[in-house]
Amino acid sequence: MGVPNVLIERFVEGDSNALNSLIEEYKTDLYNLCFRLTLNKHDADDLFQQTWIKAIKYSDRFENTSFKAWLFKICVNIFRDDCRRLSRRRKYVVDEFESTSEKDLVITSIDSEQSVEEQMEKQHTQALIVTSINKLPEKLKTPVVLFYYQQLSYAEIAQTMQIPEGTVKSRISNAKKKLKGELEGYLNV
Amino acid sequence: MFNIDKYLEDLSFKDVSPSDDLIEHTLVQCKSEMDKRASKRSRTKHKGGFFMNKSTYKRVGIIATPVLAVLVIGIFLATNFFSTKLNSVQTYYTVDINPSVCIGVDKNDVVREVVSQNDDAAELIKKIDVKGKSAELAIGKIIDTAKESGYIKDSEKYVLIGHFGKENKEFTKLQQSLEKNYGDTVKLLIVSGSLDDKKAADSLDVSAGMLKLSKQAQGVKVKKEDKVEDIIGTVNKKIHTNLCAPKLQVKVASESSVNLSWNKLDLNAIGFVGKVTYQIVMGDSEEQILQMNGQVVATMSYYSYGQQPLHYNLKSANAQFLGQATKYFAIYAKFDGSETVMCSNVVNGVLGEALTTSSSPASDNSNKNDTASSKTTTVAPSSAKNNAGASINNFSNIRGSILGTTVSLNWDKISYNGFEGYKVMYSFINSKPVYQNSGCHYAKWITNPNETSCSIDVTTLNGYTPGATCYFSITALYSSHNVKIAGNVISIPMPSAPAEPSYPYSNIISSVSGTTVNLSWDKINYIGFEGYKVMYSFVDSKPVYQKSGCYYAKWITNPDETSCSIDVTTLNGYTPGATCYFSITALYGSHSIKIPGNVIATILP
Repeated sequence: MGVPNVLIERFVEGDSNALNSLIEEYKTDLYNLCFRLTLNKHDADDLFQQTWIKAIKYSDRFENTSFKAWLFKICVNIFRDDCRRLSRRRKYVVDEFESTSEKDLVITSIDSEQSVEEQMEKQHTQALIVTSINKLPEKLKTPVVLFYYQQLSYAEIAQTMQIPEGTVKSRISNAKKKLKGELEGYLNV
Repeated sequence: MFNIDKYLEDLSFKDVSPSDDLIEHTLVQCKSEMDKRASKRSRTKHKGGFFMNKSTYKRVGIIATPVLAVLVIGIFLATNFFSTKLNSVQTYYTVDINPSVCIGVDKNDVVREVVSQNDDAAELIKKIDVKGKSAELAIGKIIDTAKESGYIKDSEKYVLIGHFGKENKEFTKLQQSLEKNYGDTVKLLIVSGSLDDKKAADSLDVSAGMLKLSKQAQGVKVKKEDKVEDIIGTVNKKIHTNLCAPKLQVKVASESSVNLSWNKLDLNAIGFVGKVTYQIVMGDSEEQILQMNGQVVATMSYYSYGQQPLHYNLKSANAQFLGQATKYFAIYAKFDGSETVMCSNVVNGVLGEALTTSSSPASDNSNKNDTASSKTTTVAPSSAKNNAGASINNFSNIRGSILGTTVSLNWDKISYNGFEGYKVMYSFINSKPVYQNSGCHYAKWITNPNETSCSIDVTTLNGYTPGATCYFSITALYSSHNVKIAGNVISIPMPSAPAEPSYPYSNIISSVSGTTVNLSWDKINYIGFEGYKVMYSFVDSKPVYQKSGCYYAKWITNPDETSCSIDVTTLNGYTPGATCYFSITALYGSHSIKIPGNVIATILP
């Protein structure tokens, strides 16, 4: 359920109380997106802040669509621009991510028939997948994150990334091929 | 068949929430952006006189640009031509009482224009006619009329005078005259700036005097409806972090009195605005002093007047008390618009005996002219710019140790009524980690003042590298995070990286029983150990974790579990009679370090 239109109208007019309400409403969704794109807290924090500041800066360009989708679009654009601008960024992100604890990022579903060791094994496998996703180029990584972990449809991803729906599908397909190649050796036990 | 879809769909990320700090900072930045947008809109409105949408601007612009250019050039030439003959405005004075009035004066300091800057001022200037009079008379008339109209009710009211233009003799005379005539009846503040400052204020549609006043502290915003007192309060709250701390000294004078003295204070250097009241306080315990419950034994008040340098060499005060007891002393400061804070070190002494001091940090950056007798000891704050904490609670006794990958820190309790919490800070690159400083992160945020220890798993730290040195400290936060006090720094070497992979444990052995291969190996005993990957391969004679063609049969995280059994029929690529190579890869440091053991080749049943 979205927020009332009047709240967004007040936000566009520069009402700081409306801003408070919108941040409160979307903080978790937006921060999760930031975190899944950057996979480290500090970059996620930056991306989160920049997204809101840009949202204010360009609030008069908001058209009467989904506010959340518009916010996500801004966030993805900033992330893409950052990746382009900082050519070494991806390496930096990957390094930082690997040196912390990727296992802490994933949920392992509890299967009562599995031993603790098997659950740890599963968690480790998932961590390996996260690492591989993070190594993908930005243009492949973003649609994978949006599709699998933000549950956006192809059409929504196309709108968010401002690319044709067909391109979204082909990028996800290419991403899966790359991931398969990377992971097959480790996981096909 | 390897199904990547299944792996991707099975994977779920944990939900993460932004920290309260992040939300707080985001709100501050967003509000600043909103203010910028609002002032931009306001400028657009004033420039155009009415709102136009983008396309209208474009259309009007095409037609109007050449016409406007001709007009602007014409006006420019005409202004230059006439300015030599007419007495054009060269300097502006602003008078902010709320009403806010701006007057423009010519090179002879004669008033040529009077502009109201808010509705109250519009009413006020209807009652006066100051054009053609001197600036001094005009400002006096504005203050007098404001008094008559009820805007100034007592001597606690601030009147802010701003001067924008070149400084000259008239301005100096004017200041002296205003201070003489109004210094006792109002709190007079005088600020001075350039014509560019005036233009900047005009573009924001606020009083230039108020804008200049707000610049005393970083990040203070002015709105048109703000009163002088609002800005002073905000500025003084901001400068808490930059308090100028007097170095307090105590000397026993007689059986029943002590002499207290303190060093010179440079109030101007800290951006102080308005009035400050210093209280010399005495208490029966350090706790009483720290909890702001000290008994006031002497009070002094000082005012700042605009941009003039202010140096007060304070005299000493005598404190009288009866009976033999240990007494504690400190100085509290109350800035206009802000709460009382402690701003000196704490000293104590037993009457009739040599004095001792509390254990403040040692660096002494105080005035060299201070004198101390043999019975006097002093303790200086840790840093002139960050002294509040040192004086608030001698926040210097942070201790730390490491056992395995766990760092334990503990510190002395902070007792202060504005205390908000301890940020447990660390950095691998900044040797003085302080909250919100570059390269510094916090590992914990503890709001219970009694919780004075914590444990940290170093492998979770941002930037953790085996063998690196990590710097830890605690930053205590006060007053809505406006005051941050950094404690001393502990440097702790992180556990070393294991030796380079060189088959460090070569005692892997195997035995075969039916279709079961039993492997055993020596225990790994090393900090940072994460687990054993039991590796095998039919094609690679040196199986190592994450190497092509190599798989793992088991993942064992208990370092004491040094054997396992494998049903070979479950192995990927199992063929009866084939040779299978087994090895163990030990993993460390979030899998970033892998050490393979020796290889056992076994012919499978």
